[in-house]
Amino acid sequence: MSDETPETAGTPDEPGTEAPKTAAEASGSVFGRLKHPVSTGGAARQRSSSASAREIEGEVLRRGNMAPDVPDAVRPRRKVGRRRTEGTEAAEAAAEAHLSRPSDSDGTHFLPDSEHGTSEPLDPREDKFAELLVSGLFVLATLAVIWVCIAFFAIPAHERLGEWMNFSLGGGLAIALLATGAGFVLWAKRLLPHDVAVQERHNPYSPEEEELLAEETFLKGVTTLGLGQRTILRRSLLGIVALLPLPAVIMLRDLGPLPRKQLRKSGWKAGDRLVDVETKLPIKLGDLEIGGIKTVLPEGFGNVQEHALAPTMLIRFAPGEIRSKKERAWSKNDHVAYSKICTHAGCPISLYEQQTHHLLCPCHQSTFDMANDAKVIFGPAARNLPQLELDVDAEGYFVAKAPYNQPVGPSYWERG
Amino acid sequence: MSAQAEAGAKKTLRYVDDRLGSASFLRKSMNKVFPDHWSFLLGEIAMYSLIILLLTGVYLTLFFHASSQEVIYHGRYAPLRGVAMTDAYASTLHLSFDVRGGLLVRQIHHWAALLFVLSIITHCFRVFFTGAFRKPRTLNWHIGVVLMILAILEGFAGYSLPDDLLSGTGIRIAYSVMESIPLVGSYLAYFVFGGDFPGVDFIPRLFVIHVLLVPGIIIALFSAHMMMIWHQKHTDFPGPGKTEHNVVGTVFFPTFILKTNGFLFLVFGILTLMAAFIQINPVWLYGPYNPSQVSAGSQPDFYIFFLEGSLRLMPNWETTIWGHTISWNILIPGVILPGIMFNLLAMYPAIESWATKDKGFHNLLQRPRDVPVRTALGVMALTFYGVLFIGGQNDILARTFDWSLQATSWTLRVLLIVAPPIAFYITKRWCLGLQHHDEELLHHGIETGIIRRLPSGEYIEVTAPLPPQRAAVLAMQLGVEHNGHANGHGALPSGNGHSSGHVAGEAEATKLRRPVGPVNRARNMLEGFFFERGDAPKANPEDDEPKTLSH
Repeated sequence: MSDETPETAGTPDEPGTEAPKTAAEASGSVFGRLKHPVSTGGAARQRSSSASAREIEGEVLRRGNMAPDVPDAVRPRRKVGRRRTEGTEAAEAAAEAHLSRPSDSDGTHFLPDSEHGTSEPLDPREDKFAELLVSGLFVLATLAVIWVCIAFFAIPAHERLGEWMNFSLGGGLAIALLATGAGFVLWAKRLLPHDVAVQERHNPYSPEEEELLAEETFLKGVTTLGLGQRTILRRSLLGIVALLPLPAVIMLRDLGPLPRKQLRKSGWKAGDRLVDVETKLPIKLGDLEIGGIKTVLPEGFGNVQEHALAPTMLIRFAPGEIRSKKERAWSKNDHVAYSKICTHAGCPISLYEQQTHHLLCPCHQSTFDMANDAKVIFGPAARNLPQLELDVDAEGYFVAKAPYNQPVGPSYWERG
Repeated sequence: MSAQAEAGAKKTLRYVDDRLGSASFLRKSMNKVFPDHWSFLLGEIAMYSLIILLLTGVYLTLFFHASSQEVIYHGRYAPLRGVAMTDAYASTLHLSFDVRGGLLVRQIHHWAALLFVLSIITHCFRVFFTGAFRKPRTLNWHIGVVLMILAILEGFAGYSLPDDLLSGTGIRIAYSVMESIPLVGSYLAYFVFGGDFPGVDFIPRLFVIHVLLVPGIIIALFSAHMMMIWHQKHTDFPGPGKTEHNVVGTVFFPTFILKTNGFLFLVFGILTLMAAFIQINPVWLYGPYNPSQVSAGSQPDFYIFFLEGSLRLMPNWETTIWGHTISWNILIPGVILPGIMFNLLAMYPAIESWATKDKGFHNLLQRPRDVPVRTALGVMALTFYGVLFIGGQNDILARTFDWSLQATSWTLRVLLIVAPPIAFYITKRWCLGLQHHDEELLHHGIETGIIRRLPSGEYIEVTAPLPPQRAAVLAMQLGVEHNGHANGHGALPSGNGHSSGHVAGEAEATKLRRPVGPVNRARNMLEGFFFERGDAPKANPEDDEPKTLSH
């Protein structure tokens, strides 16, 4: 800790500064414990030009402000560990010496502990106890770490490996971390002196002459560049700066194909059989009971990647339950097929209420009346679910009479 | 420290200093003063969570396969054996069931992510309601807002990666939100996903965004956030000996650093404890993503609730003109509303400084009650956010309490419009009421509950004067001159003049003070780590004695 660097050397600005050599010396033996790296030489560097700041600094540190007539209640007190003693004359003198020390170059002062309720070192027994407590916690953490290492290898491969490993490794590691943390916290709280440090703030802005100089330097630089006068240079520069990012943007083009008409395709063609998504078998008349619902895909579907818009619901009503004329026209033997993809945000709709024929999307609770054209009766969806016109082929299997006559799924700009 | 160790330390410091000239900086840094208040811990918790996220995240990348390639699962988890799934999902299962400790790290990572966003949000409350964002710290406020947005994005990206049924549904909604953007929506969605939803490109791209791009930006901005705090020094509440021009607290080395490291380990320990015994995101229960399936009661992580709620509560508006569709029902809640919310948040310091004409520098914090309009605005915004947040769980609420789903949604729609202004009004009155109470304390002192009869027959209420320092702090917080002390710098006077009606003498005043309740006692204890509350009334056993007027 070099105190006599040219930067920190300066004229003492507080009267009566004698610069004691060390903190301990300055504050007398009472403060022998406070071995903080405190500057001892030099005066506060005049970094903040404001005079008021220095006045206040003096103000704060003058004992008058922390005068004995101030009730104890208002002083920040140590919370643990030390008993408060009445200040003796010697302690007062020591504190005075402590306070009159000049600050270090960054303006950090220490208010002696006596100001805040204690001048007596921790009772040796209390001190020892605290030390043992902290060390005990560190030992506990060490044991927990050893336990973790043993458990990692000792627990045999097992059906419920995830669970057991989790309990034993996690539990041990948690104990290790918590004990270490608690040790650190208790160490800071019980064993470190809680002396209050006061540090002056420097101005948030630079001195005015610095600001002026900076402005001037910048403007001079700009002038030297000649952007003001050299019109052609300026315009051509603007041109290249504007266009330079263009290649980067263009090169992002191959991130994906253009949507074109792709979003209008659902994966269904006329004549596609309806295939149960789980059994992967085509569905015949009579496979579905009245009030039943099934998720279907077009026959020959590959993996789900290619058919995100294809999922369709096949619903069977009791005769006469379908209320919409158009829905009835597109149905087949009281079976109807509707897109399963919500017209709001594209979730697969799945909660069907048999009695009311209401279908609820679990994502945002849009509700559709399946007996009446899948009209939106509640929630944020704006459009009915698209209907798939049904037919039955020669073998009695349900087929799509035509593909969806509108794009399925959520809306987008080009949808129209 | 032994002489040998001391010599070693000196030698090391010399070695570094000879090469970097670091001694002066080092000493200043070690002597840096940090103030002590519990609320300053919130931002620190965000920092600890970030460190924990980086550590656990690196481990997870060693086992996770960011690939949408279809594989058949043959791992240890029996219910899913033989099921076709993406490699991303399969590797997450492998990590959870076959890698020893993998599940633990995954769960620590997920819990830490929740804590990260939560602590950023609460840290933002602290900074907002105490006015810590004011000049000269406005730039840091902007960085903080960007960090908050990035943390939410990063969290969303992270929980989308395992490609389970729940996260796949979240991505599906994100795709729809992109599609809803006018003009460029479908192109944007196609470029981001490499084509139709879900495609095979998205998971690898999201992985790079999650482990490289966003964390890189977060770390860079976090460093800037810290450097600005370091340079500008921490704000603090008014208190004895505290002024606009100083910082009062403990030094960085060794005191603060020991404490803060202790808390880092404690936070890590608590997260590990939670990861060991509280299950989070059990992806194996959800199954692999399949666009034809979704489970009821699907819920995102809590920081997405407000978006989910805005999507749920929005009326079903959509317009089609000239062959083009604008789906307001997604565009407004999914794009425009969050845009407005975060922009307002970022612009708030400028708005306040414009409205109050306050261009000054502030290092001392305000209490929420001292600035009623700001506090009321904040609570108003929070109420709006809160209704959206609850809206994200309308189905859960309806099911749990057996309410009608429709009635729940409609109530929340009405509340979203009606509740914020009411919250504004109540908060403002509340703050003003608290201010009046403080003013009364300042001018009339503490009520003792004693009525004294004067010889003339007049009854007066006896009040005990506030301790001078507490009075001075209070006057500073209320922004009023106290006792005619013309102290423009805010340094605390040692005031002794009290208005008439007070009983004389500190000792008597202390005796007459009402007992300190358990709440206050706990508050005094918890408020600071090293010091008790500066202006706290002292808990005195004598206080508990019944008070009678003896003379």
